[in-house]
Amino acid sequence: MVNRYLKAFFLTLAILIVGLVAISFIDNSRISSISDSVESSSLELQASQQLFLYEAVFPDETLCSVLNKRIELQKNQSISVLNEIESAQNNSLFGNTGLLKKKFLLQNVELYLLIKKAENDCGSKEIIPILYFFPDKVYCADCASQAKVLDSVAAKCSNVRVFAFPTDLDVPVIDLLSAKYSVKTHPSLVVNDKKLEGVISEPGLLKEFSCRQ
Amino acid sequence: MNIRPRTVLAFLALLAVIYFFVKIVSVFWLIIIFNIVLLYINNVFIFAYLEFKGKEKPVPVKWPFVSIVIPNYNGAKTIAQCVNSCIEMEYRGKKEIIVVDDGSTDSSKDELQKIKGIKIIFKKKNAGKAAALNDGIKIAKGEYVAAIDSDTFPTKIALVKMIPKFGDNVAAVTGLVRAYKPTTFIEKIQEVEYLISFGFFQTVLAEINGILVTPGPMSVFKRSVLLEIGGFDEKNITEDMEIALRLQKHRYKIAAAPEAVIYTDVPKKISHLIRQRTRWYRGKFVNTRKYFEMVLNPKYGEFGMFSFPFSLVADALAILLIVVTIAANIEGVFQYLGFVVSWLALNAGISGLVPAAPVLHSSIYFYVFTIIMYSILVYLSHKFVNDNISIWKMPEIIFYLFVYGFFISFVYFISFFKEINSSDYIW
Repeated sequence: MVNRYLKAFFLTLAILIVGLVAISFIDNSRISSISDSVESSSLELQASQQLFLYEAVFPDETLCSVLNKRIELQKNQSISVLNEIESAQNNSLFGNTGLLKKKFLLQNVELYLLIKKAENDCGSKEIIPILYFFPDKVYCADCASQAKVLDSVAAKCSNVRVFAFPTDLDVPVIDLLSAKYSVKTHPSLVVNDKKLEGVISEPGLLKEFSCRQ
Repeated sequence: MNIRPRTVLAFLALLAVIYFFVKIVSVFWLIIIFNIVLLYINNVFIFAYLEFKGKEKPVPVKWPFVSIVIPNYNGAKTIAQCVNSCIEMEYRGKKEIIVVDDGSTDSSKDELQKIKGIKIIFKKKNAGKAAALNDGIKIAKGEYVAAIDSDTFPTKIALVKMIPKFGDNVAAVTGLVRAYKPTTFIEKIQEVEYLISFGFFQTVLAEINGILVTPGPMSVFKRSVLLEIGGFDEKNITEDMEIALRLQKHRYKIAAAPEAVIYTDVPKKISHLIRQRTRWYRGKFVNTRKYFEMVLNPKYGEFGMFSFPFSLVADALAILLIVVTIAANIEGVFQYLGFVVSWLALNAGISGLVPAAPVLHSSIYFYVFTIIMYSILVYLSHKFVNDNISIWKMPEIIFYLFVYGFFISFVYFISFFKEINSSDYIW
């Protein structure tokens, strides 16, 4: 009589263990696929950085074209990765994406600085960076709309690279940038050194730069 | 409807619980606990089933006098067919049929007077089903009393299969209640549900002395025991559950005869179904309060230690399912609504409002185990009545497996608040 309660207990325990193992497998594979892409672009970025160091050590004008090509290569990694990380974080039981997110953000900051430096050093205006400031820890409905507009603009214009910068994650350069442009409200955009506050519609945003299809 | 302060309080407490789960504990662990507890209960049933499967019990050769008592209240549409199927029921011993008309205001009287060879009691005032049953039991001459609803049509062999189950100390025998000629989708889903709960679960419960309800459509009782414990409770809204719990309290056994198929009319409309279930579940709350001392009381054996307490756990899980579902989605829904307002203000067209395909949280995969478990139960319960699961049954089975639980959970939820609010009972 007691037997069947014990048997049922052990069967249930077995199901629980199998389930948790399966879930941790699903969680890990979900995160590792994002992590792979972040990792590979991290290497690309390192290669570009070395070009800058090379330039600093051996001043050589011809590097500009190489640099531009490299930046062109990397700009395709868009903010959608951030959404993927977000979704993996919200929908997994075991996976921790905190480090991955930080790494991705630092990469973004680095890429932005590279683009700016290429612009300063080589006078290249090939890529138009749009800075998008938003809070990460609290939900803001307007930011969801703004992100949607930015996605669509980035898909239309091949010369646009959107940089999603959460202002509340203690990333030093993002803090500096948000102080530089005195970002106070969310969402805020910075296009060509001009700050735009509130949700900017797609036509409104397209007026700010020349979109290359 | 009056809303009492305690109902508001209970609702606020529930909101606090939801908030607690969303913000402080992960609601997703709760989903896992929900599924695991449900799996444990069902695993016990499956193991109990495997233990008792194929064990035949000796059949006594006695065929004592049986009185069939049919309470009728405004059942003119079905009463004639009900009485006729009772007359046609095979039985080797003596049987009598007593119809107690509980002050019907329809044409029941005319219908009844057409039928020969039955006793009829006409009551002037409607006093409820339990009172009508008690009146019938008083004048019944049989050793056993079969209580049958007026919208129920037992199969020919029902009595022959049920009476032999009266072994030592058995005070009641239940049959297998099935939906009568299910045509609408709602009836067909109930057919699947009845096969599982009145077929599989009831039979296994009988084996472990854990039956919680002697279904109102048709159950057979030992008349002397009914008189000894005072008959049906005339004030109870689910007198069929109350009598079963009272029998358990007096340490009587209740047996099940799954071969005795009994067809009954089931609600055809969703509103009727909700009304019926609200009454059932409120009856469960009322009777749980009444017999709470039996919960986890070793004196009552497996009934007190497993079937009664775990049925309450299952009730709690039923309420929990809707709470968990709300808790897991409420934040996302509000965020999406916020996005909708903000997006519409942009005037960028409504095509942007289409939400992205939702990514399932990994804890949701635990529902897979529960659905597999219930698929096994659907299979076993069909095997019980030698029914084939045809491809045409798939829509209702799939609905039962994936959606019906949420519906039942919702009705539990409503019943819970109605009971707290002490709203008037509606039959």
